[in-house]
Amino acid sequence: MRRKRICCGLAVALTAICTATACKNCGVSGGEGEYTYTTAISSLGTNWNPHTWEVNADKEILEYLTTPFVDISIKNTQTKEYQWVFEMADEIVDVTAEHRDDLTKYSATLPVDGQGNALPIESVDSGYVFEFRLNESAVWENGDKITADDYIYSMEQLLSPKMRNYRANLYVSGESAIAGGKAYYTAKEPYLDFSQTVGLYKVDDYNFRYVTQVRNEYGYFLTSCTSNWLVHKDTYERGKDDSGEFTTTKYGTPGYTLSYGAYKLKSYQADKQAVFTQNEKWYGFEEENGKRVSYTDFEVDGEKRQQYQTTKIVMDVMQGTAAKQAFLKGKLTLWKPEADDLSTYKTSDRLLQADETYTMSFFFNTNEQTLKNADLNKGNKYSVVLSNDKFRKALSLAIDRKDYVSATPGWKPTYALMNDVYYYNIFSDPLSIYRNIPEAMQAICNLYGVEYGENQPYSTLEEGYKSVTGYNLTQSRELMKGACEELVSKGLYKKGEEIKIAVGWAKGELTADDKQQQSKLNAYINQAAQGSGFGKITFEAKGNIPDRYGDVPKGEYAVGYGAWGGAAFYPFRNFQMYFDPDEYEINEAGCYDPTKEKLTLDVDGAQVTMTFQNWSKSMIGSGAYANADLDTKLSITAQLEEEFLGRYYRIPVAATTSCTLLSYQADYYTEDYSVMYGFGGLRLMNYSYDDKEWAAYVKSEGGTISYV
Amino acid sequence: MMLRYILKRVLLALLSLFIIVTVCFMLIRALPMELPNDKNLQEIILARWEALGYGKPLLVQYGIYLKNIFTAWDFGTSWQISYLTPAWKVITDRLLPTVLVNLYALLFSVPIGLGLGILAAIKKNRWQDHLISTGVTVFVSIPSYVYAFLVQFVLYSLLNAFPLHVYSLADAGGSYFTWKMFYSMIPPILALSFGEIAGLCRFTRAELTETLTSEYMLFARAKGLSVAQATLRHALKNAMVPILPMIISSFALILSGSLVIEQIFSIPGVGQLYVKSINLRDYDVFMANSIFYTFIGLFAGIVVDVSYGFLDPRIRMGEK
Repeated sequence: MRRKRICCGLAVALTAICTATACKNCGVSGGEGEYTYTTAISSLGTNWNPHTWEVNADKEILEYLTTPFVDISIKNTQTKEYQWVFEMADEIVDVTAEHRDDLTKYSATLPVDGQGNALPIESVDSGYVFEFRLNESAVWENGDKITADDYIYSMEQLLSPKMRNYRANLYVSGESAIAGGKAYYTAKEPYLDFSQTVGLYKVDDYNFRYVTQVRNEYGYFLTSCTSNWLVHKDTYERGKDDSGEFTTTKYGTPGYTLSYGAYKLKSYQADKQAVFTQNEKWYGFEEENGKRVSYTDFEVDGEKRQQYQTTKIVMDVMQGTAAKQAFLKGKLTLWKPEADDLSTYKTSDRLLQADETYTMSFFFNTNEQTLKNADLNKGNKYSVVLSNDKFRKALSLAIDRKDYVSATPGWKPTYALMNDVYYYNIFSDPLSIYRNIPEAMQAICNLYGVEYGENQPYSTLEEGYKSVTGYNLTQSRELMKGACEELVSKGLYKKGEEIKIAVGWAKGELTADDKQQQSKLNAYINQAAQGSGFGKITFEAKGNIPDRYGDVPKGEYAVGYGAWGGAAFYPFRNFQMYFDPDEYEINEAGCYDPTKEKLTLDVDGAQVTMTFQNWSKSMIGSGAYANADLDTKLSITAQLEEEFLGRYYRIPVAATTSCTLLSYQADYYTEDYSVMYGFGGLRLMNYSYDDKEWAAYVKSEGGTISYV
Repeated sequence: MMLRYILKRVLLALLSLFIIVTVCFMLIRALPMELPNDKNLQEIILARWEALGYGKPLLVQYGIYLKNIFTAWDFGTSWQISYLTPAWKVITDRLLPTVLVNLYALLFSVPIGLGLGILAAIKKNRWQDHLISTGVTVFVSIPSYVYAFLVQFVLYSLLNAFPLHVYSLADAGGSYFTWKMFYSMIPPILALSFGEIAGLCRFTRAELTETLTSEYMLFARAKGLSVAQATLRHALKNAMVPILPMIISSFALILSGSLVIEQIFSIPGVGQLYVKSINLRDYDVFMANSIFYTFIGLFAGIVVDVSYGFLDPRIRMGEK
């Protein structure tokens, strides 16, 4: 009897505890009039110093705490026009013509003519000296003013040879490299004098000038001003440690953080959570009915809009499945579904797809001897067939890209190195998409054998280009036959023998999507190889390859699979990854030597021959065509793209997209993604429910919200 | 003699520690560096590595490492996991949540595990024993992350009774010792406890069953003790000789976190440090972690062995 009483008592107590505490606080943290933006992150940033941050998680924190000199925002959602919005700078002006002597003083590299001769300094009137007229309202979160001296100090620290800062690379190389920056950064003791060496100097308290090492188009220079190198001097110095081999600072870690952005760091717990609240000292905020509000000083779709409505940002560390549960319970503002979940939500009206600059491609090692060795030592069978151009072209034409991308929701078929998100004249022409110019379309038509005009299936170039699928089974079969005959006659292959080639497919484990893609690839190639003389062909996808990009040129794998992207605002720079071993490890280094192999292109009617590497260098920095008119540069770019892809060292197959499911609590300004302004960003995000209303809404839905 | 035995064990443990630390040091540095494709970044990273001394011969690096530990108690610096934080501090900063969750789990599971084990032994071959043994088999066979997902699903998704994760300090009122924090730790405590309860229950049942069938138990009953008296005074006392060291070693190991449980419940503890430090090539954190846990493991081994001697004077190791 007594035992029963004890048991009953315990049961009642347990129920009471559960009822009393039933997760009242595990909901959204804010209340009435508060708008919390909560995201899940697998790993929290640890170092948000603008001079040393390394990974995206670091950058994400940094972006909340800083404001760029200039930002890009929406102008017109219908036409996808964007606009430049000046923030930390009121204005950035090209003053090269008035300050040519700075080029000499800071040893800037003068532009060259078509023959490679440096142009006289008198002919240089733009693209080198930029004057920053600072926003005088900008202050640190503690109220300290931000002046030109702060920028000079910050750059001196960033490029300090004693600090060896990771992000110095942004200012010692590339088009926006600062004049004298590399010399200062790489100097050994005795170190150089910053003010005499580096092209950054104060004009007055709120003006400074920035001299670039090489000529830079104004629009492209502005893109480098969408970030900022500014640090708070006292905090930076307080965190300094000179005791080691090089000087370090704890700036940009907990306890050493100061914001000048729209948000400030409220709390940070390593491996767990970071919380940000509005920075009341940010120049954009004003008080309205006791609340902090901000409006754009530019028009979006013809009206000034409220900006930074979000009052609090929470970054919570959680893994994939937990993030999904949290999102469905209304605890996250957005969630990035894994590939398996994407098929469930692919029709959801809350799914946002963002096109990325990345193009997934197969890339090869075509060196005959390396492939023979791989057949002997790496478990491949007749991977040497990849040394045959026709075989690789046949493989490209055998891939039904529209079907292939169906294995991964969100991916789009692609046929070139650059997809639709590359812009060639971002400052003057917001609609200047490289892929839409006639030369670029023509290159793709040539590559895939599409003809247009009279007595052709397509009447115009545009029609012909739009018809490209990259898939031509008939031609692929013919090429397969030819390839087989050539390989047999060279003694590299015996008819009917099985071909088995390992593909360095992924850095991590193979996903279900990867396996599906692999099986599709095998189906395509075997369909094309029917009756050609080739035996069964198998591409074996291998996962957990830490460095597949390096393994292919080394001959560890004959084929690699991966994506390249970037330089979306300056497509002329994009060939560095394929042609310039001074700048990048070349994935196709097992196919050719771009420093020796030459290529002849038509430049404004003249035949010009250069190595692949020099063609890449020619359109950037002080290269021979860096200052050429846009038409010339676009023509060269399109020809380079066609010539390179025509060698089939790399076969593009798909453009990647990033998919995000957005909670009903908040909306981005637009659902139509643009690589220039995204969906409008946190700046223009607006909320349908404040935190209190949202919690009530979630409860009314039974605690779980359906997004299917 | 016992002291001599302990000294011998300590010296052997130190030798083991040195060997393990040496092997760990060589292995982690032998892992290939992952460099970005961008040559400018490569140059900067390599210059930093050179300045950090990673370009020197391995033995020289090891010598410097040991010298820093012995002369300055400096275990190096974290460059990735917690930027510019001393490696030792990276571990100690994360110990508390791990210790708390493990300690609560142990305090919860020891009495329940012992109780169920005793009950199963006393009620051997009756329905209570069958029920407990079936439960034990299930919980011993299933890995802890399965319970973890199950607990999370039931308590969070289905009942909405507990939070998805352990609260952050900011959400819990700024301390690990608030009711709110404890409340949010209940799901991982449960997930960790099932296996511990099952293991302890099985072991207790087996030991107690054996002692209950001993001849001295018959004698105890014959001299007039009740079943309860005989069980508590004689059987349980003897059965505890192997059980107690098991509990002691569990206590010694509460410092080590569970990678999976910590990931599932987002506990910012030490469990994830090992894998993270290897993946990010955070050498000094990896080494400090290796030293710490090797030490804990060896120390626990000595404590357990010595405890046998204290629990049962007949098993004084080292005595001739």
